[in-house]
Amino acid sequence: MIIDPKVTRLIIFNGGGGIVEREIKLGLNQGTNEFQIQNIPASFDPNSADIKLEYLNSDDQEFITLQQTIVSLPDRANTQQLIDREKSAAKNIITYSIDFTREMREQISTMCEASSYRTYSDTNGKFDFIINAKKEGEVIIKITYFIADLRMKWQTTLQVNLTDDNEAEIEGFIVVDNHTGFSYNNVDLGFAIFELPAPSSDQVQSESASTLPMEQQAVNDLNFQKRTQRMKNLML
Amino acid sequence: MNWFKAKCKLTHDRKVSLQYDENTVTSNKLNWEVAIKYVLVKEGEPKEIPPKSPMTFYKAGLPFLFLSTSGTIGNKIISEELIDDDILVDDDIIEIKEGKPEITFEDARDPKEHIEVRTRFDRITRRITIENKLDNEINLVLEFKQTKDVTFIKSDPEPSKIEQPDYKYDLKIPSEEKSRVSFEFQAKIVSRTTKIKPAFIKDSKT
Repeated sequence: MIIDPKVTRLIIFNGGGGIVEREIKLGLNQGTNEFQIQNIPASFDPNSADIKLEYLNSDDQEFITLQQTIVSLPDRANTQQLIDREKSAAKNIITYSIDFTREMREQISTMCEASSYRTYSDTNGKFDFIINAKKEGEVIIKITYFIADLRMKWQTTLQVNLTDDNEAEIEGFIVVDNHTGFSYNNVDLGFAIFELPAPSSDQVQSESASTLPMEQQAVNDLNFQKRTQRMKNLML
Repeated sequence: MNWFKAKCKLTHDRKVSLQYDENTVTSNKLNWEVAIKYVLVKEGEPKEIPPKSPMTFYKAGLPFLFLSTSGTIGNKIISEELIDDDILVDDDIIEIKEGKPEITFEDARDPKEHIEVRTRFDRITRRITIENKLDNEINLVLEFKQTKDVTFIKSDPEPSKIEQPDYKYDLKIPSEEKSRVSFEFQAKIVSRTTKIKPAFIKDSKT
């Protein structure tokens, strides 16, 4: 069954990306219940995907269990080819449109603009799960996952009004950017100071190994040593 | 969206750091830059503000300074470090008293040669002049960091605080006035010359 759990909470990182919490109440039939979650962005981190069952009836704990979760991401190369085709088609529409009157013009530009911003992260990932129920019942499903999309972030701007040489009034504002293809409406919004880890040193090393001299690689190895990073939640 | 609004105290942390090596200590003239940081101590509960957040200072309703934060410590919001162009620091040489060189030898790569090492300890006097071109009095910390080549002997005025190898001076400079600090240093000057060993120098008469 295809389900679309409501996004209840979204914690955005200042360095881009965030944590999404979704929730849905599901009715279960006796036996195996397979579910497929909709609107999972391809920028989600399959390793962080987590499902928790909240039992409406405490006795259900023995009869209703999570059997399996299946997570996967679409192939990057194929998806990119499709996106490139879409972009090229949009370009052709603009170039070769004969009837480009006022109404058409608006429709065409909206469609073409949407395709020009489209990236791999705007496509859908796969997040399925199977629940085993020994009897019919209801359960609340809580889903959590990280999204590694740098187009969604927040930043602070500060305005300092000097009233005296040594005294001032400070005002802090939070500016949220969401340039992803996913909207989050009526959610409990949280902010955290955190930067998603950069690509691992092994990955970067293997890419650069062929081009850099050995001495340079040794220096780079030192720079790749990880630093501690502790997430700080903002109390608004 | 609005996050917070609070009153705060503003302080300016101005600092000039001096450090010499055996070459720069004998320069006729050096110029140093004064670093300034704006520190806002906010009233109320602390707020974690990410580093590099843009910050704009307004005076009489008009923006006059654009900078960004470098971090927060509790209720303190600290700006990035900027160079204060309104404070000029000139560093001039006053006197060099050359010491007597001590000559030692080191092995060279070629067995017929050796390296003549001349080491002398010079006494160098320098004067730092700090000019405040602002229309208000400023507080500034002048910090001298001793190195292996250049060591501190004395200064006028005396340092306000000594934390080896740092010598700190808390200076108060009125508007459009100059403040001076004279230093006397000992500098280790080493020169190395590769020479043919005397035993291998051919006598031109033979």
